[in-house]
Amino acid sequence: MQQEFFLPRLPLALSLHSLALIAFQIELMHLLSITQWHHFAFMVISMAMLGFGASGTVLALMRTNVRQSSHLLIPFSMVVSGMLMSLTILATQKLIPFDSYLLFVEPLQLLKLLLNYLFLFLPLFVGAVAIGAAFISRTEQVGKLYFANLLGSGMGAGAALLAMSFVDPIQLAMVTGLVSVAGGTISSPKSLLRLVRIVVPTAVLIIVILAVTAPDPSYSQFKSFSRILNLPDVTLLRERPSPYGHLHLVKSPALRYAPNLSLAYTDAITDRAFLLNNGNLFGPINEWSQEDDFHVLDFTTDVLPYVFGDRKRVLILSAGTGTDVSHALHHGASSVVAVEPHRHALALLREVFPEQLRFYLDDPRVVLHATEPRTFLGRDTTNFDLVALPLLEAFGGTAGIFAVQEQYLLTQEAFQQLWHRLNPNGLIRASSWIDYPPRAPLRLLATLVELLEDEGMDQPVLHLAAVRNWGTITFLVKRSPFEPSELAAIRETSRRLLFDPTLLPDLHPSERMHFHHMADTTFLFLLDEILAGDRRQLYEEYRFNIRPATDNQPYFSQFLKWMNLSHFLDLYGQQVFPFLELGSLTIGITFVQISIAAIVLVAIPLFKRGRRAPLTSWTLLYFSGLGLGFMFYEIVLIQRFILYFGSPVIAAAVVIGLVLACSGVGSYLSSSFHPTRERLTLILAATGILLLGHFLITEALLQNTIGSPISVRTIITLLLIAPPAIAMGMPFPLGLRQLAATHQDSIAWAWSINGCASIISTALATLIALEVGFRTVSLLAAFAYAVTLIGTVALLSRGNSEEIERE
Amino acid sequence: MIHLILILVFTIISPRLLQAPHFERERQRMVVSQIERRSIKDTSTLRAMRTVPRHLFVPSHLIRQAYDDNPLPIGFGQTISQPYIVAYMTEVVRPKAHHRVLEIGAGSGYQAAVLAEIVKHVYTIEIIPELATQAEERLERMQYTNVSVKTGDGYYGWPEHAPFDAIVVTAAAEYIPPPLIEQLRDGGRMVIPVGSPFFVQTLMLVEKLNGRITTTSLIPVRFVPFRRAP
Repeated sequence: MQQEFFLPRLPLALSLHSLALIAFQIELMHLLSITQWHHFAFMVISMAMLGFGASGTVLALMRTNVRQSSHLLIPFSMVVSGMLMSLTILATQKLIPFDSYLLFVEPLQLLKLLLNYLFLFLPLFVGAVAIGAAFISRTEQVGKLYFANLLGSGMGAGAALLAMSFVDPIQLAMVTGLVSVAGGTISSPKSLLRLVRIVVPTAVLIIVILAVTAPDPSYSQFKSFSRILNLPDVTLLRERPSPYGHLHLVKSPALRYAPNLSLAYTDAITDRAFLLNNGNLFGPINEWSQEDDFHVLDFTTDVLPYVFGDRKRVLILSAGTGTDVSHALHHGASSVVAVEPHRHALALLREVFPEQLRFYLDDPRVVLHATEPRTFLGRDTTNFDLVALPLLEAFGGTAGIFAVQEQYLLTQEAFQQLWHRLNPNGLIRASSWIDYPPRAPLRLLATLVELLEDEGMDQPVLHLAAVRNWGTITFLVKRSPFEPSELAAIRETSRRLLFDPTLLPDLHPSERMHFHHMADTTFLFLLDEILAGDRRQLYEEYRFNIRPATDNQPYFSQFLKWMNLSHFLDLYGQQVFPFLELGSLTIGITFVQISIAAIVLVAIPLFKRGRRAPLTSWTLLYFSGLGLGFMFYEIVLIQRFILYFGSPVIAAAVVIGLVLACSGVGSYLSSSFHPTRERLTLILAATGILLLGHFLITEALLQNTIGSPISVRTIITLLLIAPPAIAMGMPFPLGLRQLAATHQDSIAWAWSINGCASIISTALATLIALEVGFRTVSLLAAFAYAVTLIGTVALLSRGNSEEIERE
Repeated sequence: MIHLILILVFTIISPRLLQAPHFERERQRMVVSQIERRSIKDTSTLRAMRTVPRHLFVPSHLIRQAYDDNPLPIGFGQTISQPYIVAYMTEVVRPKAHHRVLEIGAGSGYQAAVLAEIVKHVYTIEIIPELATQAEERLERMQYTNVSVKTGDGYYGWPEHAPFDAIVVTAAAEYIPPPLIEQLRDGGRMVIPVGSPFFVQTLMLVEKLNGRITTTSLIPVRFVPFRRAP
């Protein structure tokens, strides 16, 4: 009787619970990115997500009891998981906040990190127990249940991203648990009604109280936001949640913006308000007006494009708070196109500073596009006298924290697009902080030189100029060769502002260190090598990777060559960390941690079932192959669609939502198939072929339709994603049903394997993309299905298949 | 709470570690292995580094690491610099007994104490009130009478006591404040670290001579110089 009542509601409950689990993961990632940094968020969440694998392991160890007690276990797990979501946020933000930067100096932080892992692991583990228990106890309906699971997950991703625009991140993560509690309530059998009446209101009450009294996020003390809060007379003008990042608008008399100011500048620096995104500096509020006879950027190397020629039409990419826009207007630009993807930041600026930023937000000479710069370049065909890029890297270096961040504006393909937007005398201006050992400016120059060569310039040196201040270097690339009068203007400005010309067609070596000396001149030597030496050889021999970034490997800030690790260890011993780059290092550590934990989780049930149990090899290969293939596909797809939709947030929402929903449809359709070996192999083969075909046409198709209206792009996206995603939704439930026919007790183990492989694949895909690019990850997605297919044919046809078919 | 438990456990297990003779040995070892070995030769700097008890400037839970070859966090997103950086910055400004030195970013007060061992007077400014108060109390307790601590915005320098023979900026910004250049005596030297607090830092020297200002990017101070590939 209990089961009759229980069954029809289970898919709905599972959908709600899956929605909550996925939403919680996304919100947690968001919250940790705000309080720490993105790569640490990735590390923590990856470890927490091992809860999915661990749930399978635990269920495998208690497999007989799962079927008997599923009517209790499922609702109980959902309700507890919902409560744990709130409690863990409270614990990690209030009781055991850790600081990722301090991990390298305070042993206590390691303990805190481990406790964070544990606390964040719990709600996902308990939540995954509910899903795993549903699959195990209702194997005959797994197609429909998996459909409910995927559909709920897809909706969860969309709902989380949508809610981030309106709700404070910490409260959002806390109230998400209510959805899971609702799932638990729906799935409860009649016999538990009395208990439900007590437990559920209590759980809801606890969650609501926790959410209402939620603590403030615990920011790393090394984030700009924390540092600014320590300044005197600081005022938090406005705070705004957003899926693009959490915004803070702050003001203090001690806040100033004058990056790499000339030593010749003697007046006051007057900026007082700053906008921060995810606790990092987004831009100053530059209160410029047409009547001003002064602009602070006139005392930086950014002024160089304006000291000769006419810059009437200017393109400002990643315009931020508009300082570069006012600089262009200050120098008489008649038309400025500004591209800034953070639309929520623009909305906040418009709301708070409509007068001060009128030049940026409401000036007839300025056209503002709220989209990714590359997306704009794909759609626009206008030509410009100047294209200005934002200052690259950070003052003092980023310690590699952006190493694993995709930067599509700094790839070879991006610079080619910029080149073709230049008027005959047009310029590209790109500035970078000078790091040590030199990396970022070298890669920037290499990108520019390769651009000039690719565009058929016989003598790149004639089109290049670079000027150095004490901390930055500014490169100018001109479509036509520099004229003597233009070079004279650059020299005159350099002399006046105490800059040193570093690259000019007619440069004399004595000009290079007139004001700013360098004890180690390797940097200058390497610039010359890139420009006039054997650049390819330098790429090979230099300790860091300074090859230009590409759309396939859009990691401009990733310089580490893993093969040089032993060299660095020999040279620097325990002080090697800075050369590993925090981003790369974190991904590497994450992969190792997850892999070790996953191997343990997958191996534990083997002790109970025995390594020689039937279908062990097939189960391991099949469900790990599906986990890897599915996630590889999804990760690549999100990357491919970032430029297409002009926003990583929209791309993630659309791709995750569509892939999961379509896979859910595939899973649902699979319910009508009898899971035979032939059908499995056929579906796996079809999936592999569809993936391969998909990746062959995607790049070109997206490039050619990027300028289409959003409705057309949405239809194209659906048509591209649906066929492979539907096919990918079938093998998992069919595989479970195949197992259920003969080896019911292996289903939990299969769930564990799939969960562990999915988690490993996220870190592995990033590592592969860093080293060899996203195209390889794409191929590996298809390859994973191919190996699964071969394994299925081989392992099922040797003895096991007869057993299964007999069933 | 966890901090307290760990400190308590640590204290019970190793009470001798908190005793002065132990730190004295650690300090001498620090100077030999971290500072002299890296070619710091200025005798007054070496003497100061041997004298100032660095362990009294670090948070109590990090006292065991006080003489390690690392920067350490002191709260508020600030650090006490690696011993070698402190020594290097001190040597670079060529401090003399009659000098008056301005420090921007007092932090724990350690750099000011090292300078105070050498020069006539040190003026140090800290923008975070809590750190300024702690540094002032600490330096008073240690009887550094030739150090003046002020809570304020280092951007403006300390014009009442200008010009300075040397300026040591320990908290670098994206710009070099014009007032500091103004308050540097002709022939004076200013040193600024550029870099991430826990990782590679390059020191920059600003010199003013006959009204002309020049900078020199010195070698990165935490590591041996990085050489290009042969």
